Amino acid sequence: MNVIEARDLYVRFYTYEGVVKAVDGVDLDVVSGETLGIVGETGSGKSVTTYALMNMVPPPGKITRGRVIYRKKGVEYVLTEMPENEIRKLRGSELARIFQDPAAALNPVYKVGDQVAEAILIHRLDEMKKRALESAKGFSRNILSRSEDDWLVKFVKRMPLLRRFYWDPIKEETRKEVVRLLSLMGIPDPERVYSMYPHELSGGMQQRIVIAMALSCNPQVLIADEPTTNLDVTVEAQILELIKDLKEKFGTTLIYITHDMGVIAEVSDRVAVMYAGNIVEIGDVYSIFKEPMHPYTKGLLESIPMPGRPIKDIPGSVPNLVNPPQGCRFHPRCERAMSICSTRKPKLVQVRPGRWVACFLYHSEGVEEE
Amino acid sequence: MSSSIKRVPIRERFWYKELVFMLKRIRESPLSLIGTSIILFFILLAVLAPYIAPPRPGRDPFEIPRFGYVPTPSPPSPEHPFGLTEGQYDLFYGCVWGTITAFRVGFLGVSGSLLIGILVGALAGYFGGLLDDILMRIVDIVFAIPGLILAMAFVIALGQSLDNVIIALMLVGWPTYARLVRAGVLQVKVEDYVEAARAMGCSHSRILFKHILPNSIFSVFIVATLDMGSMVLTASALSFLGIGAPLGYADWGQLIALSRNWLLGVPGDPFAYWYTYTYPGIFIFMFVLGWNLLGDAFRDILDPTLRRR
Repeated sequence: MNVIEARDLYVRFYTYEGVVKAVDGVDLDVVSGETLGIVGETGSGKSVTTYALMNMVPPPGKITRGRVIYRKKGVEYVLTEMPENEIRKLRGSELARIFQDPAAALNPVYKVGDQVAEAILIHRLDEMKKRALESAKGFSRNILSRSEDDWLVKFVKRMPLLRRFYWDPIKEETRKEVVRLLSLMGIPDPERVYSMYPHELSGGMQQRIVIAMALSCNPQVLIADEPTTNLDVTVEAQILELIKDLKEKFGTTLIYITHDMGVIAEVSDRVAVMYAGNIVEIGDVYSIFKEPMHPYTKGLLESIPMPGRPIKDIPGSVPNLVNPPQGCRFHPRCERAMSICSTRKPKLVQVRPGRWVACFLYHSEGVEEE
Repeated sequence: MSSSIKRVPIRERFWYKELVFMLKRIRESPLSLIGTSIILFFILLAVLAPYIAPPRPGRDPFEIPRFGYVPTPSPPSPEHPFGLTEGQYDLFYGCVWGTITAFRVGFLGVSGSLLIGILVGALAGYFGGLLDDILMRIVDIVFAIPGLILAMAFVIALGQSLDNVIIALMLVGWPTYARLVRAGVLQVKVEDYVEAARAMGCSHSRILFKHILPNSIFSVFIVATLDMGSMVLTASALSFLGIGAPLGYADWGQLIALSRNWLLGVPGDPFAYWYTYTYPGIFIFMFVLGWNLLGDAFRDILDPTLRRR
């Protein structure tokens, strides 16, 4: 079953230099429970695509065409057509995101524990309230057992001096939950780490906190945007292990973005290769590595440094997406470019079961460009 | 109350550590020490005013007692340590009770300006677009008119009273804060943690007030401290021009206004009535100086890049 389906997705950034065609007709299915690796060079639209999957493309970007469907227990949510305040309920609770630079993804003025607690208080307030009711005594218990519509509850919740009778037991339960999460992340002495500020922690610890925040509400889909790029190699291995481990434990579907083919081989079940705003190839990780089809994928694999083999780079660089090349976006850098490549844009076509390629070497389906 | 909640010892609480840090910084720099002492002195003066200069029973304490109706000021004497100014108003009493007026004008003026400025700046910076354009053009308009003149216009339009002076100061003072807050918000809103908060499902108001503002507000508080002095200065200027506090009200600007006719002294002795302008002048000078030094101290203390332990 597909948890996320993106159909014919176009994202445009309206900048002073012109319209940046960051994502140009992407079709993507994410199967429940899998780890989908998205790989590509910097500026190939990996991050933007996943932002679009949460319908939170940062301005001046906009989704100009296409649909993103999110499925949960047979219910379909069309994210691209939902109002912002409805999507907000899904973000964090159903679709969570880990950021590249953990130092920047944590707010410097709050304790890390409180930042994890915030996520829980937004999406799991009812659950925390239920737990608080079990341990609360006296007036707190009385207040917590009433319905939310009760005038007394409404009054006490907001009234200074009285509000603590409502909030303190809930916050205490949330704190316990955060400490539990932190220890699950392999953080030593979580009680102490709870009240530390982000700058007091190492990069690896910070990333663990960010992962704790993302997993705090048990999301169905976790998008990890190069979560290990800014870390040391040894820490990178730890974090990768942790993510893989937690994915199993929480049963999360993982979308892993990276430019590192080695990491892709390590974590993912399926791989989508992106180039200049297009997906050029999709397949399971073994066949992609064993038998890459698209010339770009081949180039990427050949550029991995290996002992006893000269490094081969792909000549040229990622095109400017304000004015991308006509036809296939990759043809100016392609060794096997044909005349058709510069006039028509190849479609992403299934050439074998589970194997999709956008290249005229394998099929002849293309689209005329406007 | 459930007893499971752990009480953090006072020494480890955030505000306590912050206070200790602040006091340490103040102690390290002589200028901020002077500034703090001056302001502490004024606070003491304001608190102890009823004992230092007891008001007459049954009268408004802010009404300066007068000892006769002769226009010519009388020099300091044991009963009236600062002398009597034009119309025989007691200068000592006026200066002491004027401290309370100064604090009231400063605090209310600055906090009102802060409130408007932070709200306008935050909304403009966060939402941007048309709202930003409209709000910032209003700021430009207010900035285009000289502050004192605009304040005068507001007071005259609202009617002469000290409360209206404070309202006028708020209406004139907020654009500075609005610009500062907007700049701060623009800088912070592109940070990753704001994006992370959005990805977590935070609402706009939560992102703006919980995640962006606390990171962009330090500079505003420093400017606000510096403004405490200048607000009082502007209020004094309005009083001097005769559109501030009503006649006989304990206000330093008012006392300076009363000395206007006696600045030149008598032929042959230009300083014959020195006490009429010197004492209130010193009070205003010290008050503004104190806040400025304190503002500089705050700039050092509140600098978030400083190491805190």
